[in-house]
Amino acid sequence: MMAGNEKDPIRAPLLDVRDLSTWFPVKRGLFSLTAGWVRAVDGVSFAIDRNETLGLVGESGCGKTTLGRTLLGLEQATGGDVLFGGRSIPAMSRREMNRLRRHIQVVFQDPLSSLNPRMNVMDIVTEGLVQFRMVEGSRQEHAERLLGEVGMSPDAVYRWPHEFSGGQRQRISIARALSLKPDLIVCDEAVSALDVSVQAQVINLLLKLQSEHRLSYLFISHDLSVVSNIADRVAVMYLGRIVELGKTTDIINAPLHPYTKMLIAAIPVAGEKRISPEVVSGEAPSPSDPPPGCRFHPRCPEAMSVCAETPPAEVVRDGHRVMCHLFGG
Amino acid sequence: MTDEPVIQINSLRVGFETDEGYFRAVDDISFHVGKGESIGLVGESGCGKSVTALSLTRLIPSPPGRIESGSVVFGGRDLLAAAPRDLRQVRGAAISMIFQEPLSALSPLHRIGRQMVEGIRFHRDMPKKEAWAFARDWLSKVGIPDAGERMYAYPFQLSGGMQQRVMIAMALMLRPSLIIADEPTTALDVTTQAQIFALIREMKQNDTAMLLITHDMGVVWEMCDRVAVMYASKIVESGSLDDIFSAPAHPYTIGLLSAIPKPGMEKKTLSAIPGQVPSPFGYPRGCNFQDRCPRASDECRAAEPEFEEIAPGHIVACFHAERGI
Repeated sequence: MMAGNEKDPIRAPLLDVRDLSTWFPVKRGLFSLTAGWVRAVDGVSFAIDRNETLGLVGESGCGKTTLGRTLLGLEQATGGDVLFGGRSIPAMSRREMNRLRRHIQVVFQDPLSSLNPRMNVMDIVTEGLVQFRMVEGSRQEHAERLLGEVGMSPDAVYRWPHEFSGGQRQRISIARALSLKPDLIVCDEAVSALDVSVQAQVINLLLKLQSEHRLSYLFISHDLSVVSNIADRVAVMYLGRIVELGKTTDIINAPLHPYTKMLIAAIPVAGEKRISPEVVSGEAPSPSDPPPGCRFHPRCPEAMSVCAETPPAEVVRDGHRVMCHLFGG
Repeated sequence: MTDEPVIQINSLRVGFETDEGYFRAVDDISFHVGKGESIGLVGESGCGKSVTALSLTRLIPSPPGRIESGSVVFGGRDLLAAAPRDLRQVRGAAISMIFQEPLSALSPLHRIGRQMVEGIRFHRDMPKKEAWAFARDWLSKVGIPDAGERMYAYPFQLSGGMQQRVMIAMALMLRPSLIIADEPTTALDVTTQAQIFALIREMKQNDTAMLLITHDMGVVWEMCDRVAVMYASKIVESGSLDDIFSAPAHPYTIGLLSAIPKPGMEKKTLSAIPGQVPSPFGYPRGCNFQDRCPRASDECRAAEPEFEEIAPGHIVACFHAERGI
């Protein structure tokens, strides 16, 4: 992850995240003094190119959702920098930030809580267009075109979110995200709540839209199987840090970090060998009190004495990054 | 299974009265679970799998729910006709349940120990002190560290995985002959899920039967001996793990299996099942899968397919079932 090419807008990645941290204060006592910090995101760096999908996986509480929210400006970063198209997001004025929102959109896990129940489908999918004064012609035409893009019938425009199934609602969320012609869509567990047969439809839709619009996705999910089907590269997060990042095929077929290996070994795959109970152990500790040294060492089957003392540095080999003492980190 | 089944469900029909009218959630379901056997009941949301599970011990709120017909034979009697008093004796003891959300299954107001002791003393004549020690031993058996202290914890003070371990201890401690587990690992991380699988396998005694309700074929593969696939209120196919995973016969089962993303697949389009599950208020005439089925014909729209045994123990309800060699 070499810095220094933001002057070249063609070669610069679409999104360049550098040493980003998002900490939450833990308040205690009479005067709400800050007693400590939950380091939800703790020094994370990665980049996403145009037309690329980066998968972000990890267990609940690892900070993947906070990371996505920070990129969207929904959480305040505590440190580090995020460059979008070469420009620093934290350094932006409010006006610039508002203009930027057009380019980064989001699809959340639960469409029922992210779609306003009092707005009909047309209002939902064209609200952004109105906000950014991008409506040419009638709102209904825009809404019908957007619904067509996500494979829904145009007569849905005057219907309400509760009238649709989970998969249809997620299509509406995607139509809304698409309306402003964004460059990047953050998908936070966007298919996790869906049934398998519908999940496959929505994944296919995301793939189709990506190739039609040259979109980039940050695809956040706890499900490595889904991620491996949609992502070009995968970042594995553990307690606020990216412990491994590489091409999807490398991560799945030749994982380096013991945590990645554990995650992969724990996936039940029909028709393959059953999971042996020895491959997984322990639970992720609280991010407010991470273990010293390598944060994964209490659960790591390959832990050495150095792991409990010194945090490993990141090692990069052919674009495959890993943060582990086993690889000289 | 040569033994008499632990539980035998015959032609179960369950419906719900709603503002929009009456709909049938479970339609003519029959299956059995043999001694020590683990059966997976799989299907997508709304297919009726959870309603089936809840109906077995009559936990369906009624009204609006109504068990229309059928029988559930357990221990030589029909639970659907049993007196409420007798049912209470069965629930939690001979038949225990593990639910998806331990936080909503456990009382938020009472400490873990007290909840466990209450359960034990409801079913067993055991002095309080002894019951306390019994419960504590079970907490350590299911892998909860500092079990003695954890007895005083409230459920919210435990992690999701630990809460589910408490549920498992409570479900297993009275040596049930049947465990009904409804999506027991769906809310957990994969790593925790793998540990819970191992725990259930290890703790479940050899003659304890299990009915596992899940939407996840991978979970079935890990935990079950036999599978019944449900679609839109009916069982469409059932058979051994081998039958279902190596030689699926119903087009829905085939579609479902190929729609599952697997780790290590390329970034490419998945084979999805087109369309969506029909509304329970408007199940079509004939087969419920006809609108999404690549093999649907006029026959499927005219009549409902009957079950056919295409191999020993492998049954399927489809006019155009895939037949093996």
